[in-house]
Amino acid sequence: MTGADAGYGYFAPHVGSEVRVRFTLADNAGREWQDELAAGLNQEGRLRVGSMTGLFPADPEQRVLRHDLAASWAATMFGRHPTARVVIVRVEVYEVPSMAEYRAGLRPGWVQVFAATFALPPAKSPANGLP
Amino acid sequence: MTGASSRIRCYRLAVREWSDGFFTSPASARPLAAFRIGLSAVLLLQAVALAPALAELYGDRGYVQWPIIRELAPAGVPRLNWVTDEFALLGADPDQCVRGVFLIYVAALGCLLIGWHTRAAAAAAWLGHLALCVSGSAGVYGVDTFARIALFYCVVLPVGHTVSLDWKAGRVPAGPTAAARLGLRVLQIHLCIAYLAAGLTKAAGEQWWTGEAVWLALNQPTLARFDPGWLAAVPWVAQVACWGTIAVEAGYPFFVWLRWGRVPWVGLTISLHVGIAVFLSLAAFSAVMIVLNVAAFLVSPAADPPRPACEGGDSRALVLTTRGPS
Repeated sequence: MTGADAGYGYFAPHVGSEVRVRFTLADNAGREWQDELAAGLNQEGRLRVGSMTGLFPADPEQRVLRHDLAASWAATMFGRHPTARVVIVRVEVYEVPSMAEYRAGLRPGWVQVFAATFALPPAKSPANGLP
Repeated sequence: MTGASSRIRCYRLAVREWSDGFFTSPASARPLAAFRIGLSAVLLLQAVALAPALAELYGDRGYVQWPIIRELAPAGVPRLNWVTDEFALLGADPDQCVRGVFLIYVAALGCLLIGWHTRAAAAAAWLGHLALCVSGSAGVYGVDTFARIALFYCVVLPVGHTVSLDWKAGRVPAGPTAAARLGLRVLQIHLCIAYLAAGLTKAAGEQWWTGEAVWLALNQPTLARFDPGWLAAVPWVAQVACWGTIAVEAGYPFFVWLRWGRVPWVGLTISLHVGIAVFLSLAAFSAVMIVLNVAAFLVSPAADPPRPACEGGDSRALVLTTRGPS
């Protein structure tokens, strides 16, 4: 509670890779579009979203936490885009080459490590004869 | 035997005299006031930045929903669902409760800034910050760790004993106190432990010796403000930056206690944090660390400013020469 148990090893002993989450959404008419979790946030918000996406376990064995986080992010997208019926969640890691590899021509880039599809159940049609 | 035991007694007396002077010789609360004002100002600015996305960052249906947080956060620590569960009976929406707690937190920070009922304000700010950070624990980062520690110190240390409305109204003791000296020492020693731990942890990582750590940090898309590609052509620059960071952090607990080393070393440390703010976009974290450094080591605890004349207050200027090292 007081922070007495805090650690101070920021960026230490090694600097990790950044993780981001991207979404492909689709509606009933088949239209597709993209979104990102941190879209529209200022730098303070983006830093916090970076911490959240950094929670995504690299270990595929941690299936429950991976699924729960992806489902939570998909729910955010369904809330943000009420017409969306399907959300594909893609988790990507930013891989940075070493300085020597960079000099040799390699460049940083996003690599997909996880993908899951979440779909809403079909909307119920109104009962016959009722307005 | 007699000579040896009297020598031991002399050493004991000397150590006791030194520790009394170091920990409890009366000091002005000005460094602690600087700590209070700087901290609350930075946290208020951070709150302004966080306000537009409260529900997303802290809400029960935010980016990381509360059932997941319950699995990740420690049990028994105040959190927002304690409030939402209570107010749900009155029909309050969870997002309204989150906004309510946030408003109380911001109001408490405002009271802490001006030093109005300082201890109660600090307690409210600390609890509000704690509840927000636990419920939004998936999104916390370094600044939240230091803010939580610093707000707790504001609860227990005499941070409102000068340059505050409490001081102006005569609600707190004026002039130098042993509690202010002890509070300052706690702050100073905590910073020394934090920097030593940070420096040693970095020194344990290979990336910090090869220079890759700075290269990788500058390449993080969320943090990077400039294209760092040029750095790969001059890797020695990254290496010097890494070694310099280790030296500044690990050397901190040694050099800040030396009369000739304090100002330059704290200056180097502040430069490091300015660099982190400029190149890694970690403005709030850097600002909190700069406040801590300035308050702990650069604001003199030697003399109080005069308390403004007011009913029931002591309007005399109090100047005291302290015995221990500042």
